[in-house]
Amino acid sequence: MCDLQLTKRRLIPLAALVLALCLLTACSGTKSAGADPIAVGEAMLQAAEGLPEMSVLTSESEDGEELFHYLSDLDYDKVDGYYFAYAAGGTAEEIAVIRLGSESDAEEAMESLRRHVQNRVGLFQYYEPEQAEVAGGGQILTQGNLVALVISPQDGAPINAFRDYGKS
Amino acid sequence: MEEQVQKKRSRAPLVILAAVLCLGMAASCAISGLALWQITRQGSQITQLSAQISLVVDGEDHVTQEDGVKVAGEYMILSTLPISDAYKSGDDSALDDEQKETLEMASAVLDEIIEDGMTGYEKEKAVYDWMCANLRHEGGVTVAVPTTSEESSRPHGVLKYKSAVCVGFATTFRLFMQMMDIECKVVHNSYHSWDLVNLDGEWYHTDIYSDVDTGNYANFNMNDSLCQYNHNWDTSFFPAANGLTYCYAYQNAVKITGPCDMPAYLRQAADNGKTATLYFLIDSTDENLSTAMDEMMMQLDSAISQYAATKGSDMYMYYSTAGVDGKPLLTVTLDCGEQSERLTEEERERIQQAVEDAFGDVWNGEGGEGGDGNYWGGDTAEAGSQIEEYIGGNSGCVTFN
Repeated sequence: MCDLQLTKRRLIPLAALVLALCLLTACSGTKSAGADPIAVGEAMLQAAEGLPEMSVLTSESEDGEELFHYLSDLDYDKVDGYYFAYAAGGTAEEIAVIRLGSESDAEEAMESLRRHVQNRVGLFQYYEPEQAEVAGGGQILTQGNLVALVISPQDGAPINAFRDYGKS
Repeated sequence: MEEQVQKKRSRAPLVILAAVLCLGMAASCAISGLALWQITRQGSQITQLSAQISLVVDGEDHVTQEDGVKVAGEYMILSTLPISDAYKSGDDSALDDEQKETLEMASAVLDEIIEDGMTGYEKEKAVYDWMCANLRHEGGVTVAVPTTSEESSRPHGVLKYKSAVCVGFATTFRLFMQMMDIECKVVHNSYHSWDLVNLDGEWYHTDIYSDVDTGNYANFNMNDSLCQYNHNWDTSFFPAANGLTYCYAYQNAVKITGPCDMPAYLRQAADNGKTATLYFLIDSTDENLSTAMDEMMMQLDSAISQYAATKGSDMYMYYSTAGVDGKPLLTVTLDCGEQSERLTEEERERIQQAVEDAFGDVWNGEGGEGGDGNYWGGDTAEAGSQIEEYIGGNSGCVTFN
């Protein structure tokens, strides 16, 4: 009984020490984690039906950082990887996934994708009016530190694929 | 008693250690809070500073300017005054090699199409005709990551490779005008550009990009009222275009006294079987004119559809109305679909065979041709409503938690 009490007394300061160390570690900030945006994007693209030929750009592409502005005006420092599939023939269809360094930037990233959709609608209204409606139906989704965009008349399957990634 | 004192003594180091750890934790929390506050404050300051820098460096202060701006985030409108000045002075010594080549190509075009004694309007129309006949759209402008080259937005590339994006058409047209001493400006919004040209002291809009497929003058020398139907721009920066003397639609409009005069003209255009744009200037005081026009256009649309179905051809009608000189000016375009690719007999048979393979037990092959000319079985209205349902109107936003 006495030994047990002694052990308890030794454990309390030890636990306090561990807690203090944890709190100190918290000061150094956190690094993002989560699903790979390229894998999520590929799964969404695979799930999608009726898409035309798509070109793909990712954060791992040679000019990935330089070309990111075609998708979003978000500061690239806040981006921890992205996937961007777009119609090679110049129609409106797009599937994009951005992984953010911090979940707190999700609202800003969604706002930038809304601007992207508005710009595409403006462009199509002039050059390909029949595509403007498709672009205008773009869906912007978020889940943790992932933000996604789906522009497709048949967007149910890719949206479900994005949602399924959160469940796994 | 002595035992209790000893116990207390043995606890003393532990109590001190616990106190130190508690102080450490409190200090850690305080430091974390302070750091968080500082980061938030610095973040806010950096955002403000970035906004100020972008105002100064990128000129994103929304002050409209003619040159040095990008259209569609990609195509820069650049001045070509050095080239036109060199043409007028005959001295190209200040030009670089590319500018010299541009001057050479543009001069050759003007030598070919401009004759002595032409008026400013005739010169402008000659350039419009040449550009519509010899240039074509550069594809890829609507691809999310554009595939067009920078050359297609500059007169050098446009004249060399004969294809252009809107900025290329607009800057090349302006180059020609400035070479001939006709005042001209490139107008732009965020996704499109065209020209404003000054003839005898009045401005007119000309959008060659929109006409290059047909050369039908539908966007040639428009006043503001006509141009506003499918263009928007900063009207406080660019000069007003109110001229009628060279306004193509106004000068070529058929003067009618009411909507009932229109069907005969449309029938004639349909019988010609070629895409045509007709202009009607309606001189009427009928207070029900607007309602009568709506009814007329609805019935004409239906008549054109049935005419096209009967002839087994593609034919669409679209129209717009603008107030010009205090009267409604109606622009009606009859698109006879010459540009669309038609299927070869072999392609048509292959499609029919594939459908027969799948539905041969219940389908007799009728309806594939003629009828309403719709290869998809006719019920496009239903298909359209399904698409509407999927799209759901405006851009949506879904958050999964």
